[in-house]
Amino acid sequence: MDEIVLLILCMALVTYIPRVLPMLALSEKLQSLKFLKYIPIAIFASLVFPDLLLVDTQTIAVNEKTFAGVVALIVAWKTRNILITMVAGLLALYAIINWL
Amino acid sequence: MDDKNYSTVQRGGIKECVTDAFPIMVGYFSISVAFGVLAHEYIGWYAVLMSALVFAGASQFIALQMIMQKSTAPLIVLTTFLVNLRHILMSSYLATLYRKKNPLKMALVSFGITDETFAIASRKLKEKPDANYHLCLNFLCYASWVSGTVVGILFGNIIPLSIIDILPFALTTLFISLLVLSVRTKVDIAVVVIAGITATLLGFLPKGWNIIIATLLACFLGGVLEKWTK
Repeated sequence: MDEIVLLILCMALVTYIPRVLPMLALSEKLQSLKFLKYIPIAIFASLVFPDLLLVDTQTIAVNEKTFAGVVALIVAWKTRNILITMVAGLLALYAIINWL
Repeated sequence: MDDKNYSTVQRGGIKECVTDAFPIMVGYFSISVAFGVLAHEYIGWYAVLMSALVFAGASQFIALQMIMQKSTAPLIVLTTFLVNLRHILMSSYLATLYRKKNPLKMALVSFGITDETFAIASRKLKEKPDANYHLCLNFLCYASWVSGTVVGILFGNIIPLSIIDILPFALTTLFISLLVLSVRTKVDIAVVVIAGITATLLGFLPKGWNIIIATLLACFLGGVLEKWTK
């Protein structure tokens, strides 16, 4: 077998295991663990903040994405519409990078 | 219990899942076009195989970068594992929403867990756990991810780099809107701030680990705060 195919198969396997095991093993009884309900927003926040604030792995600085993120935040607040927010955020980033 | 809820897609179900999937499909398609464009030179059509079998954006870009730098295969696999380990948290959360589980459906649904499908599914399924809706949502996102890679490989040279560069930001804006839509209480705000700052400060860790640690810490403190403020 091609080396690259083997690599991709191994990547697929190690990606699938963490996705499927908890789903099959855990039950709804865990719902009583209240703090689990914060998982979604905690994950969203830990994906968003570093992308807006880090210019490399350890330098925190206000940058183009910070401004575009603020634009997206305001638009999301006003419209409560996901698509409009995405378009506004991307346009803002494009404008800041290319026209300012 | 009523099997109906789990074995039939209601008439409105498909339309609902298409509507919900659409923003992610747009984001995925454009980003996987970017992936195809970048991957074309190094692994050619195997990029499509990777998108079809791995279906995890960040780790695919990282693997590609490692392939470009001639890293060894075991190191790439290990990195992929670490980057995608955060899905454990999502899968655990989703597992608590389903009361009745059809193992085959759950195994299929699990394959499609990503940051983005999780974001939409966790909001929707909290009110009404519906495996068919979940499957439909994941499949649409998967289809757009794989087809985007194909398009990227075929038409990559036509798309200007200035556009390719900013496309990944589409997903960040998706998460910003989901945050705005999800945050209700003061504890929610605290969780967001704690998770966001922790993940940023831990940005030097291998990718993925900052997310796992920040999420666990913020959830735990959220639970504590909730008790205090009661």
